[in-house]
Amino acid sequence: MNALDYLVLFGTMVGIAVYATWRTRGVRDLSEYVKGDPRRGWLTIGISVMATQASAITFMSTPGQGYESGLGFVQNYFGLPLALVIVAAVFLPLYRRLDVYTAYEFLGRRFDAKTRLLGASLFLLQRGLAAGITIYAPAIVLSTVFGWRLDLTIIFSGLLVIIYTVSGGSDAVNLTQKYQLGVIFAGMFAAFAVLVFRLPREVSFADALTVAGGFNKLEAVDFSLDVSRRYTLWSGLLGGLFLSLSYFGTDQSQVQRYMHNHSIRESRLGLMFNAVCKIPMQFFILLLGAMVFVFYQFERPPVFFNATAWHAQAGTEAGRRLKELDAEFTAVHARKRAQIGEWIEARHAGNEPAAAAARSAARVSLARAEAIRSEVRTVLQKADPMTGANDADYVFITFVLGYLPHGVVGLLVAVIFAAALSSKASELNALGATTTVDLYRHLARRDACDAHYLAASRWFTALWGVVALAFALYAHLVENLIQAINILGSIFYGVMLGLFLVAFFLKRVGGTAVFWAAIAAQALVFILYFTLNISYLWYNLIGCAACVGLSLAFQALLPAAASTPPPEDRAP
Amino acid sequence: MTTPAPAAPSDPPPARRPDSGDDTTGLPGFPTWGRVYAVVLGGLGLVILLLALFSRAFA
Repeated sequence: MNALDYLVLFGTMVGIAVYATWRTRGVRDLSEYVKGDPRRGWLTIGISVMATQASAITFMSTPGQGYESGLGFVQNYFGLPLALVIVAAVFLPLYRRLDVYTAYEFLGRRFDAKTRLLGASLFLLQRGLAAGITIYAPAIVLSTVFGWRLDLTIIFSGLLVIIYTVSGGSDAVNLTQKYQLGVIFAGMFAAFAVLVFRLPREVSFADALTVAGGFNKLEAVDFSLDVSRRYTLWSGLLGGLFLSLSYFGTDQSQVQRYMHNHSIRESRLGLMFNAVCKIPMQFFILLLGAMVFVFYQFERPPVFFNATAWHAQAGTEAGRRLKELDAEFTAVHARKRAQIGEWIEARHAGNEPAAAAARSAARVSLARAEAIRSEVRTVLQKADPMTGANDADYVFITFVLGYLPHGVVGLLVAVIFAAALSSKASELNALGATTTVDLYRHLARRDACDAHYLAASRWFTALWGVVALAFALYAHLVENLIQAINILGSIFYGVMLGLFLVAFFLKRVGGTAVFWAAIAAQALVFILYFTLNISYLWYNLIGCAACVGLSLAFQALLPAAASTPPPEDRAP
Repeated sequence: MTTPAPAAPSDPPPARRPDSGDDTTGLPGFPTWGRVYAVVLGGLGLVILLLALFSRAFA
């Protein structure tokens, strides 16, 4: 980054903060702080819902996923459109009829206090940990741009997120998110154009796709019935359906965005906007990652994309070994590049046997290059156990910093960072609101004034920010950020969805039955997660089915008196 | 601006708020939500088909 980039970077950040503060001046009550402005239009809601889910992680980690594993991750989203149709048609009218602050308040009205606390606790636990993983993303940006130690950038980013959230409220989030999303997408299109433009002259876009396909990076749909495969059509459709249904239908960070809108029509249109746009968006971002992979077949990539961790070992014993591996990597890369050149040349000449032979040779070289990268990771981790095992999350930011024009780099870094702040803000708002409404107001202070609850909500938001920050310091242990978020969600979301499905559709099941069923189902998911080798997406289905099935069984077994909720908590 | 304090769990449920014009989608060519949902789900099938063809083309 040069002076122009820094000027754009800081100008953009200050501009966003000033704009958000100016637009949200005068926010004083809990209702507005938690729910945001009820007059927002469907486009704002649609982009807002998408931007919350598509945080900085999406833009940093998803291209890395595409770089490492290709397009298969897109199947994770196959169940999402169906889930959003169900949320729009079934969940949304139910929530709006109740006019609740949080989704878990509904569980209290339908069942009893303990079930409400259980639902809120599952959300707080899952989302609190996820917030830690996502705070890690802007820290990666800062660490890569400035070369600072990652733990310091995590603390800096975390504190910035807390201040931004507590001072602004969810309206500020919505106001700036759509602009950030627009700039990020413009930046991604620019990155795509630069990628294609900077390929060698003899390599067309079709050749680039052929190379990506030749290295198995373009397998977007896998029809395999093998449940151990992480992403298949079936795990995506079924597991993804339950994951998305739970996320959009029961997660307070999403529910708060659409259930208080002015009209149900606008909320539905916002959800349908996401149902239509999500898969193409993820496909594009993954394809961008696959194209970065192709680009780095012709340009020599760093042997390890986390440059800060790499440079930290220069001059040490490990550094000497890393230098040897780097030299070997350079040689393998040069050989691979020549083999890919022969492959493309043979393809252009229509010489299929020669093309196949060159492709096979290139694949062998790629395997060797990957083996070197793996050894580099081992050396780095041995030298410093706090070094992340995977550098996939650094791939796209490394490319942006290295190859995009100055000014654009500064703008893109600024909006990726701002997007991280925004999505974290909405996540922390949801955590603060749920803690205030479902725990604090419910258990500690039932009759305080609204100003008191607003202050409490801000304090709890800040507290969750600190928890997330602490957890973020350990997020380097995860394999890939975007996957880690989905794995974490899948462990908890199935049971959460089961709780709400029982509440909505099984009127004869009472609070005690569903409470113990949810605990048993969650325990089952934990046990299966640590013992079975199946795609994490299936746990959404298993958790939900177990919760619903056990609720029915427990209800049938429990004496009538034990399964009846206390009168004050009965559903209306 | 202030609003009434949030309802405690034991309070009676708040009155249902009016949702004006919610039955119509306001989208030209899509008079009912059922049609919007059908198009979204049909689009999903189409997208999966196109992705499968894309995968096969570059396998």
